[in-house]
Amino acid sequence: MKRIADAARLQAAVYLKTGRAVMPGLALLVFLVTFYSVGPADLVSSTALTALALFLCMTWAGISFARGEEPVISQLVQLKLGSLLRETASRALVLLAAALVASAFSAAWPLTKNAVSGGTFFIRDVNARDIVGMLLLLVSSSLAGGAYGGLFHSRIVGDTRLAWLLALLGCLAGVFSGVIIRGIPVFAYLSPLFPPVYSLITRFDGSVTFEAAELTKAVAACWIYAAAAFSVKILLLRRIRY
Amino acid sequence: MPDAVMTFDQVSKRFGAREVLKNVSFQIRKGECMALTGLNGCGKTTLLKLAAGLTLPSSGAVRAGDGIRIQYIPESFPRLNLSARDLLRSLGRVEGSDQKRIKKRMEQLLVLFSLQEASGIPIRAYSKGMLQKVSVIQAFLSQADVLLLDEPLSGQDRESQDAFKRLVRESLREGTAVLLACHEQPLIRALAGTAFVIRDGELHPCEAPFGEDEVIFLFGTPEPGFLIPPDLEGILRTEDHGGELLLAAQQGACDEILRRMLQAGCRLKEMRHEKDR
Repeated sequence: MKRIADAARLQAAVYLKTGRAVMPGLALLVFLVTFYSVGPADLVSSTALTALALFLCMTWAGISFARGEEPVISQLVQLKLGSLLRETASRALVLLAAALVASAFSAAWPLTKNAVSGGTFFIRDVNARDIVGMLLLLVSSSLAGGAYGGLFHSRIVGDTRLAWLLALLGCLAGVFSGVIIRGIPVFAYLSPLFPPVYSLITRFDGSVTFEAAELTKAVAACWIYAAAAFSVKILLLRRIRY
Repeated sequence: MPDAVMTFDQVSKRFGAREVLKNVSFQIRKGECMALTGLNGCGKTTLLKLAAGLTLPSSGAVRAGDGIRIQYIPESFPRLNLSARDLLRSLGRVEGSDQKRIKKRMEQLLVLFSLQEASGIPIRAYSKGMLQKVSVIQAFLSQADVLLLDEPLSGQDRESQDAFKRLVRESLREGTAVLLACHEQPLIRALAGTAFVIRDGELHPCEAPFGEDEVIFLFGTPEPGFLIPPDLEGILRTEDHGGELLLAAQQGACDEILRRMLQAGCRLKEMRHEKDR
């Protein structure tokens, strides 16, 4: 495990030094600054919308990380680790770390504003349970976004424009899946293919607190989707090698 | 074969309609160095990637023992925004073996390849030869069962070439099997026990590297993309540099090659006899 973590550190260093992480990071910052500029805010619904924004930013980061892979370094890491699976795991670890950092930052921003305003930024007092719910939702959505973006690896979708177009269409289908299903009911069978972001937005409509059942469903949907996306990616990369 | 560390069994590789390798079969044993040569694009790199498991055969099988340690020197190394020292240290950590030993080895290799002073600056500022040195050093950080070398000397100075040969000989003595893809006949003569040329996707035993020296011509061509007369024999490799053509030939064939190339409108700019040092 230590060697996989060391490989992840190397892959992260190679990626970060390219500067490709700047734009998705900046997009998230712009969202947080503008979205939380005016209070008071409802904690649950604003967290759900932040989770959606985080999903989109992490999709962006996931695509740029996957497509920015330096093949020679990945090949050397694969040989030194002795397996493609371990090499892929090291890259997944980078996305997991990025998801944790982005989620912590996205949670810290409004909570700091709330603390600075003397607890008046949110329409009610924030308790430990809220913070746990907030972090769970944000980490889960950002992980799902990173995993979804990773599907558009350059060995899976060769053409860059096509990759971005497909990623965008997938996001739109995910965001509007509920609306599409109402118009075209048969779409319900296809909707599991798309990121589970529609339920992320609507599940907490009108909620004052993170209800355990709803939170569990939202978190589970994101983790299942992320696990499925990682598995599909590994299967495809095992077939489509260098 | 008891000492075989890797076996290619009827391996073919296709890219679309093009079959790059056709039913390639061979074994490589402990302490053996096998050279692969042939024209650019003939499938040398593909064969090395198949050996490394970085690409899969279209048919046939590549067999290697479980837990085999493979080190690979790729043909070209990326211009990263990391220093050589940081990159090598990180790759050493990924290797997982004794870190103190790897660090000591890294320092020795940086000195051996005269890279210690430049090891702190980003690799993206390196020349081609310096990049290749980093590529070589990462492969020699720890002992391997199989060493895959793809044009390992390109751009390197003479001292580094000699150091590289010493390292490979040392590895061979320790039982490492070496697959070497290159054009340089002197290097093949210096290291390899057997040599094969890849022609039309097939592996043919190659006697030329051991039998005679090669002659290197540099011709000025009448137009870019000039085509060499197809019936010309004895050509070992060519490199088209847009208006200039580097041609390596077997010594016995060089009179005829020179006559025909001049007849075809080329100008002789340089000619040298390449011998093993």
